[in-house]
Amino acid sequence: MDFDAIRKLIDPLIDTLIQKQIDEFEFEQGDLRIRIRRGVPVMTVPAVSAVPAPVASMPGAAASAPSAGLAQAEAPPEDLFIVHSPIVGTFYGAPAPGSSDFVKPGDQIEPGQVLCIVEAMKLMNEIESEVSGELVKKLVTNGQPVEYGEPLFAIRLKK
Amino acid sequence: MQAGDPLDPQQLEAELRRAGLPWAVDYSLQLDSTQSRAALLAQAGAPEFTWVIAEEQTAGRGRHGNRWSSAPGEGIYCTLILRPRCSPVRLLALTLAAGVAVREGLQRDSELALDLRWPNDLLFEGKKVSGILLESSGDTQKLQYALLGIGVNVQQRQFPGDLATPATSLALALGRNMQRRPLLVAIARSFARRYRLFQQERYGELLAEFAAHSSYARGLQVTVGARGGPEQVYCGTTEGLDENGFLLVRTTAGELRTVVSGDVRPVRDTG
Repeated sequence: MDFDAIRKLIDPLIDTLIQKQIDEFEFEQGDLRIRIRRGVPVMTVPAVSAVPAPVASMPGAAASAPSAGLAQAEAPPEDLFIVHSPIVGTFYGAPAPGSSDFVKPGDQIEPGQVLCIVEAMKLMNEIESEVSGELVKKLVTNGQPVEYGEPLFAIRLKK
Repeated sequence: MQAGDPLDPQQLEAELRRAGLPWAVDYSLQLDSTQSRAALLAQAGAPEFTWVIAEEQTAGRGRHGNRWSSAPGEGIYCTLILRPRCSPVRLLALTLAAGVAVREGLQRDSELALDLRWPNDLLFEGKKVSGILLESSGDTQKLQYALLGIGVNVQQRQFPGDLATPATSLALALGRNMQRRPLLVAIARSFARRYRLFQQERYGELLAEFAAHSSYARGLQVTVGARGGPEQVYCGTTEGLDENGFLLVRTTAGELRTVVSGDVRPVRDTG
C-alpha cells in the first residue's frame, strides 16, 4: 500500500480521533500497521506539507516513542523558539565523529546556520536554523534516536 | 592515469543531455571529495542536475566519516546536485530509489548479479561494488538541496585492507574491464526515470521496486546494529519495508522492530 492510499485511510480516522478526543490508536492487519498518537505540538508541522495532519506522528515514527520528550516542549516561554526534528532518525551534533559541535549553548544563531544532522537510512539531513537568536539549550545528546517532531534545540529569538 | 578510459567531460555532458534531463557536468581531475565540492556549488546556487565528477578523491567519504577508496581513474566518484521540492522525510524513498537506479545502470551491459543491501549498497557476492550517500540541507520545513553521492568500483584490481566492508570492482566481478562513461550515462538514465516517479510522489512504487531487487527486504536472517550504539545489537528476520522505507525485522523474541538507521548484516556474515 503506498503512502497516498494510507493517507486516504487515516485522514478521516484522524478527524474521528480528534472529535472523540482519543489520544492513541493502533491498528494491525496483515502487513499493515497504523499507529496514531496525538500530542505533537502543532508548531512542529509545516503549514504546507506532505505529512499527515498535525495530530499524527509519522507512520513508523511512533514505534517506541515515549511521550516524555514531547511533553517537555509544552508551553515554552514566549520568546523561545523550539527546533523540532523533521524526521525520525539519529541525532548528530557534529559533522563527523571527533569534530566539534555545529552549535553550543550561548552561540548566536543566524538563519541558514547548520544546527545538527539527523540521519536515517544513511540519509544525512543537515538542519539549518529558520530564525536568529541565542541558542539556549540543546535538548538531545549526540547519537540519540529522535522521533519525528521531537524538540532538538531552544533558541531565544532576537528582539 | 586514465589509460584507455578517459571520462571526457564534454562528451559525457553531450551524452547525458540526450538522456532526458538538463544534466550539467562539473569535472575535476582531483578533489578532496565530490560531496564537499557539490555542497559549495549548491550553496552558490548551482542548478539542479549538476554532476560533480572527479577522477580521483583524496578524502572520499561514506557515512560517519568512513573512507571511500578512490584511486585515480579507476572508479566513478560523483555527486549529483538535486533540489527536491518536498519535506525531508520524503527523501527516504529517494535514498532507496538511488540504489535501484545505480543497480540497473550497472547491469545494463552485463549479467552481473548485484544485490541491494538495505538501504542502498550494491554488493556482488557480499562485497561492495557501489555505495551511495545522500546528504540534504535545509531548515525543518523546506529543503535547500540534496546531494546524491555515488561511488562505483569499476576497474580496481586491489583495495586497501582496512575498508569497513570488503570491496570488489566490476572488473574483478566480471573478469573484464568496463568503460566508465557509458556506465555513468546508464546510471543517469536509470536515475532520471526514478526521479520522475519521485517528483510525482509515487513513493510506493519506488519502495516496491527496491523490495523486488533486494534479498534484504524479506525473509533474510540479519543482525541489526541498532540506533544508540553497539550494545543494542539484535537478531531477526526481515519482514519487508514500512511506508517510509524503513526495514521491518521480526526479532527472535517475536517483536516487530523498525530499523531506522544502523547496519543490517546477514547472520554469519563476517564482513
